[in-house]
Amino acid sequence: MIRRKVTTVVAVLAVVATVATALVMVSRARTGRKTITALQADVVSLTAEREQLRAAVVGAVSLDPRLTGGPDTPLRIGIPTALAHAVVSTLVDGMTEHVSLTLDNLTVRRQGEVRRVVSLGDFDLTLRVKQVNVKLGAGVPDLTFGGNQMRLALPVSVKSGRGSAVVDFRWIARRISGAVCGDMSMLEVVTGTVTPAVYRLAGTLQLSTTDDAIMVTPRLPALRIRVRVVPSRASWDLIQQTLDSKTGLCGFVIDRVNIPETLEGLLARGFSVRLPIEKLRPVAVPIGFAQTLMVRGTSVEIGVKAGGLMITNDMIWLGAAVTLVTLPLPAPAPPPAGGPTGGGS
Amino acid sequence: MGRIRTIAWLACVTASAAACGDPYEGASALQAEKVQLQRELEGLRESAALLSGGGTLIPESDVVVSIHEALVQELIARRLPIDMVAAPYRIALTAVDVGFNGAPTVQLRGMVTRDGLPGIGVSVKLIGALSGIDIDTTTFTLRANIAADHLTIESEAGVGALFSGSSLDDVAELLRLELVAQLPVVEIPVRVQQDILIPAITDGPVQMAGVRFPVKASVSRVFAANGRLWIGLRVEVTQAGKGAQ
Repeated sequence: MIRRKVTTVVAVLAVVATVATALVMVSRARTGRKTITALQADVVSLTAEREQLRAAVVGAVSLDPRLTGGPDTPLRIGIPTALAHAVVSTLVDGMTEHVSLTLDNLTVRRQGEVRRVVSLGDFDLTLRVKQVNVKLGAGVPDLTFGGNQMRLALPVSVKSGRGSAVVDFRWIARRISGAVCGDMSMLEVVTGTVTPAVYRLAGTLQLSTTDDAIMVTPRLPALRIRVRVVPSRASWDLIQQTLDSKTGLCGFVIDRVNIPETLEGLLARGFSVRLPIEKLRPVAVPIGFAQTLMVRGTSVEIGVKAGGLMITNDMIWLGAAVTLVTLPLPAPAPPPAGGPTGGGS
Repeated sequence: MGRIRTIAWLACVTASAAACGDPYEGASALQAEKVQLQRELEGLRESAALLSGGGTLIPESDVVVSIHEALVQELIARRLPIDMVAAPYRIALTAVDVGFNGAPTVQLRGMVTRDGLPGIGVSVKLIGALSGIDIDTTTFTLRANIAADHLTIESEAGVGALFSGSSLDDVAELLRLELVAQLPVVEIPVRVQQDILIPAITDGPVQMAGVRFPVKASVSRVFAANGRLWIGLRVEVTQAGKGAQ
């Protein structure tokens, strides 16, 4: 009897459990179906949006010469020519600020004889430049791109300058009876300023590649400039005052030599200076390829070989082939403390 | 009596069978696909917004770096296997797929095992993407992190034994969170110099002090399209400071 009751209770419980499980199952299945249906709908919707946007972006990439004009290499760098122009301008500006032109210990000289029927004597007019400091400047560079080079035209100017010189005038008289002007000399320190002038420097900036960078090498012809010094008004006055003090035959001699005009003639030619442009070293463009990579704190060499330099109106392209050597294997993960090691299948 | 017993047994078997069935079968794969689509769309929407606003994909004055997906895949592959421990589990990621269409997606595949259960392993797939691309301030090379968006544990033999007592989703999330911090940084072999140095000219009447022009560079934009990763770099060469050598 008891056994029968127990069996009945178990049977009832089993039926209840079955019904409950079935309900849970139905509920889970319904939720699962809903979840999967929702996910499927999301995936369909997102896929459609992705295809539409992808087409737009792919189209924009293929139409942009700044993105597609480069060499077909796994790795490439494109530098906009507008940026190259800005960088060259900055470099020219900055370098010019740090350039100094100093002329010192230069001498120009004029010698001659003064006659009045017979030779009255000889003069020796020397201008010894003690020092002239000249400030140079540069204008805005004009760059054109193509054929693996940048053509550069750059206004170079003598902007200003100051200097000092010694005017040394000596008169050696011939001994003539009745002549009243004996030997005389004049030594005056004069100051002056440099006359501004503009020159044009034109040449190319040659682009080449190393394994990891673009190198820019200036190929510019030698440029000679002339530094012309004009004595100051005060200096002229000082010379004139000294000259005016000479009278009689000496005054005649001074008039004939015409020291101011002679000095002007000597200074008018100016001093020729060659700018040492050939001393400018090649410069690496600051974006290039790395030849090593850090792997877990260790520097590992990789094979990057630059090539395929291309210059268009918009971009300077540099491509690179990359050969990867086998990088060192990472250290194995430490086993957990006290635990056995699990095997992989 | 016999009938009742039979009913009871059938009920038990039915209940057991019902409990074992997985109504979410396939959901994990769909979720993974959705996560990847969302990641791709994130990049595509940003690009599309730029284009619709009349802009360009990379600002016109910026340097363009372009890397093929096969190269990045190889760069990551050379660091494999990636072994990690998320006790009691161990993960070994041994294969990688990289795709640059919409987003720089990265899929890492491997096996997960459990300590104390040698010989049993289950396949896992990590869906992620390159993220946080910037210039390393130590090496001055471009680098990227791998973001771990979703981890899928394949339903296959051994799953029950390996993850007994836990749902696959919970274990997958646990493993993903452990992986986030342990995935390697991917270095891209593009270097940005810190400065441009112009050597001094010290002989002759024309002299020049050595000049240093600092270079400021930052990543301005990243997008993936046409099987390539495109990185925009804003580069500025600034005027040398007074007395710089």
